[in-house]
Amino acid sequence: MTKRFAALFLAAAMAVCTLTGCGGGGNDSETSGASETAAVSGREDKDTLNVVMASDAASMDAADTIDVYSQMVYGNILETLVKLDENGEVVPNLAEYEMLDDVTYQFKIKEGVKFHNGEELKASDVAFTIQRGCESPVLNYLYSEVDPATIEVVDDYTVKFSLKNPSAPFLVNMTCNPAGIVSEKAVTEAGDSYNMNPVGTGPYKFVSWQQGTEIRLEAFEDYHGEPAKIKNVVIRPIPEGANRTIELESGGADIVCDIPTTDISRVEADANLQLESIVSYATTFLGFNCEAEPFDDVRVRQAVCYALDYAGITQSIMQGYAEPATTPVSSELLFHDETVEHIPYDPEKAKELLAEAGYPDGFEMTITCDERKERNDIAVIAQSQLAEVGITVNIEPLEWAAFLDKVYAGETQSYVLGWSSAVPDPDMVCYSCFHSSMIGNGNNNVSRINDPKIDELLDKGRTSFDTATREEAYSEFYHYLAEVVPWDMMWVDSKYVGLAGDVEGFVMDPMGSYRFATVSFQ
Amino acid sequence: MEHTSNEKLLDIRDLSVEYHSNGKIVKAVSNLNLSLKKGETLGFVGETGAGKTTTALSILRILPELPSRITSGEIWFNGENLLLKSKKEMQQIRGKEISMIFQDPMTSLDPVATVGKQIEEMIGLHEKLPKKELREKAAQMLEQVGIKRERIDDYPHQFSGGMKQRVVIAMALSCNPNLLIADEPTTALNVTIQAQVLELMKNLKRQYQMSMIMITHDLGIVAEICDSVAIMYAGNIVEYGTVERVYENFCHPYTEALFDSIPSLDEDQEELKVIAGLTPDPTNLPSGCPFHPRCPYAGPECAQQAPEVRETEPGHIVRCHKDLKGGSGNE
Amino acid sequence: MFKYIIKRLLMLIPILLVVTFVIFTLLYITPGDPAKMILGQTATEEAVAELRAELGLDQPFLIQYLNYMKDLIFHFDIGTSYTTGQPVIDEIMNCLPATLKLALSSILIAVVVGVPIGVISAVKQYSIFDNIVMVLGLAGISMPVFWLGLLLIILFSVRLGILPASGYSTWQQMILPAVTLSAQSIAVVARMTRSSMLEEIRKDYIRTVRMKGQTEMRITIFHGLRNALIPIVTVIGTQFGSLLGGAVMCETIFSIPGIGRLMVDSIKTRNFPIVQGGVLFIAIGFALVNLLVDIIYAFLDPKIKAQYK
Repeated sequence: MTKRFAALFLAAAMAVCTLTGCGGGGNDSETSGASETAAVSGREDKDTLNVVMASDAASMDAADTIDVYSQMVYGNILETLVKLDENGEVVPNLAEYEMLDDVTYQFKIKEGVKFHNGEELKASDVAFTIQRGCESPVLNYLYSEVDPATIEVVDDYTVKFSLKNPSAPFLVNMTCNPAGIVSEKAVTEAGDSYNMNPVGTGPYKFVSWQQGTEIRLEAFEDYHGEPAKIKNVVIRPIPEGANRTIELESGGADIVCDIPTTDISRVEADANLQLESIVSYATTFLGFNCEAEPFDDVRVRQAVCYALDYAGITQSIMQGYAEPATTPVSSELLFHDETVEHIPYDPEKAKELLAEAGYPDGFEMTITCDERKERNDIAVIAQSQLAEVGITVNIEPLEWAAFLDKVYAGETQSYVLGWSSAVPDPDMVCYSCFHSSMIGNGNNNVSRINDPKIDELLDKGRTSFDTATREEAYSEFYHYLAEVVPWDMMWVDSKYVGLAGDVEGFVMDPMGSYRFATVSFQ
Repeated sequence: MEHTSNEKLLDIRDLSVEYHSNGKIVKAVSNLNLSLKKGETLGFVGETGAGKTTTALSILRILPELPSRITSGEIWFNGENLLLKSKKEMQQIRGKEISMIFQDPMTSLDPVATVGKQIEEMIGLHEKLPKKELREKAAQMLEQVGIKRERIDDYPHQFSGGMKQRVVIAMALSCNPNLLIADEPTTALNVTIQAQVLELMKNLKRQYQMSMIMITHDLGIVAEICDSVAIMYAGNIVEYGTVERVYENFCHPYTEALFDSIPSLDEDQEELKVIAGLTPDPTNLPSGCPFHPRCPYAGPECAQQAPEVRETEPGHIVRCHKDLKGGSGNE
Repeated sequence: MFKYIIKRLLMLIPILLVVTFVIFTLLYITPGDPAKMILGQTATEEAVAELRAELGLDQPFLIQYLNYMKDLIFHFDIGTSYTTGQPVIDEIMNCLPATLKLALSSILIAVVVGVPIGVISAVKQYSIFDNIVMVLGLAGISMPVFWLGLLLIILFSVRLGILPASGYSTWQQMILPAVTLSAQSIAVVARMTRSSMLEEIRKDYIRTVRMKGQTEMRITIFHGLRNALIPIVTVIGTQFGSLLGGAVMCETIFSIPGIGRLMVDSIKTRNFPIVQGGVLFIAIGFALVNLLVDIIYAFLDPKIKAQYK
């Protein structure tokens, strides 16, 4: 009797709770609106910008980490030698540049630029930064081509150095946040504690960091350029997505990064909030191991691509919040080609190709993926779509680090993975992921594709300094890749940021490392 | 013979107590009548499960609340019906007017409080005294029962079984109650200690001029310490009278069987004499006289009708259809 | 008693040695490369090799272990975090206030709510109160933290707007997380209190106290509960111990930077020094809680106190 009573009571309780959670889906904008109006009309503290991100920064020193959260903080504190303009061209920021030959760069630094500690930016700081970058494994991806022996301080405001090999992407890479110039004095004096006390030339200076709770920045009065509009910035980590949205709606935050997909429509519909989005530098795909059977045969890979409805899968999983991808790297990178076409959904053609390749009755394969829901969903949908053409799929979900181990060791047949570019130039991802020299030993060519045509195109893209040539090379590369499909592309991720109604001047960034100097309140 | 007045201290009339467990009803005590005079010591004899403890607990009204129910009767004590008293009134009577000692000394004391504190608690509930005096009184009580007063701060586990029982006695007597109910106080002790404790009780009884109900299954103890005896079987008194009369002229077959089962020092016995049959199932008592299934003298009327109370001699009553004139001596 | 405590503290040392060895070994054999995790997808063979050398990961197992133990024993240095470069001890100390706040407030709620409920439930066994308590107890143990936490946030932060949904500095911020986390502990404590009390109030000495004429309330609390405390304290101790390290879900939902989250994140990113340091701390914490419970036993039960020499 008591058991029955217990069961009924629990069922009732859960029903009540579910209703509390579900009910009012349509009314939400009104309820939050009612409480929002108070926050927006008559903002009391116009001097403080409250930012929320999904995770705490790991370190304030680029030499320690380049994760997007740390970048978001030190990206406001440091400045790079050069930056990208709206057309994707490299233009001077802290310095003007000149190429003395195809491997030698000379930078002439702007005079009178102050660091946050009052010191003036000198060529020695730049030399120090570059030397430091060469020594850091974390920054290896930016500085690997620099020959440290050639770093030379020509005079107080001029520095030059040479690369080991010509590299067209090098300058573009120098526009990234981790290439920010640090103060030699500050780094050498602080020693091990530098990563908690960064010093840069940027519009915001570091004030304090209470780990796990908040980071405080303050506008730098002696900034050499246009000063930051809002004096104080407070950045807080809130790992739970739903909580981030709640912060935005309750007025506790003015800028909230990474709005979860389930909350996007709500924020969009809210008249008192703004939703910003941008296509990011990350793509998601189903990759193949081109060294092992059966995917060493390009026809089999193509067959799988024909059998999977990549656009349908994208829509189903991402609900319209991500764009189907045609190229291995994001459409936001330089030299994107819109004419590239993804293999269309055609199960009949798939069966034809399979028969041709010697698998008329299909075969068995394994898709390895990590624990994330979206990645798993891709595997599950693929499983059912491939079954239609006679391919039996076993899904093997693994923990992230174990997953990576297996993929990199070449022990998987196919895998669901995502790739994000750390720089706006496609060379970094394309070269490391598709060049034959990057197979094995922990290098990034996980599809293990070994194709001289690919190598040629990538080398061309890397070493030609002429933009038109590069563009051509990458275009041809993307088209070719869409044929040999070492990766079956699914989608390009987007980033979604929620803003309070009166926030102006916020610029979206495909990397997710936002800068706040241009932000102001209405 | 102890001095007893004719005034009744305790008068139980028509008491019936039931236990409810697992949907079954156990009639522990059925229409029991019993009385005690001031200064009298009553021996309350019977097998385990006869209902002696239940009767005792009913007097103090400390039966386990949930399963038990007093369904009828009155318990008159000092001119008042205890069954009508409020909770608070009973709390004042317990310990002060009526005290009880329980069977197993090993578990009767709170293991985490010193014996001194436990005696002080008893006194403190009924007399408003400053701390120092409470402690002094407790120490005195310990000495009364033959325990050194230095042990006042010791814990129960530091005492042997016999000494624990002394502590219990000290505690029970510390407020000088009019009635002490002792529920098999020496059953759990070995024989030599038993003798000591009994001696102690006898002395204290005289000293404090208490009335006492001594619940026991040991007829020897009854002989030594009691003035009158009541034999209980299956929830009712089957024989009652002074110790002399009952011991010499017992009238109930059950009483006879009890005396019979005492091993004789003179005879050469190979086996102990037992009473045939088993104690009756309290949820399903036999019809008529509850002893009839085991009674060697049972006749047809014994199964049909419950026997009435009969006075065989002045002050000696028996509940039996038969006219058994037994006894260790002659009429 | 003092000697007993010293003895117990000394016994910690072999325990911790075993713990460090086990966790070190486990991390060593687990797949996943910390250098790769740090470098992410920008990694090249060169960079990974360099970083592994820098972190000392290219050394054989025994060398790595001995180096670690050497630093631990002689310098009390438990290494630096792979991702932030900060000393592990600092990172853990940063998390400690939040974790302690959460654990203490949760256990406090559990005791203040759970014990009385258990007592009343035992004294009024089979009553409606008792039945409801048993059902709610079942619910408390079964409710997942993240479900309850989000539910409370929706109700109190979003709908009613009276309580904050994140943070741990003010006491208002602590209400929801502490209540969420305490749900399971309340149930466990209440059930144990109930069963322990049920056992005690049936014992003979309770009858003796009742015979003395003591009030029911005092019998229940000063005699019954007092004697029933040992298993209850035990259970409170184990609950508190597990709260110290295991409040990950709660910490994530309410944005509380505690040890649980630190540990889970570090395991994911194979941040070995933090994992090792964290496990060490949690082991010490557990051991200390156990010791505290044993000391409390001595005060509760004189027989036990006599055994501590």
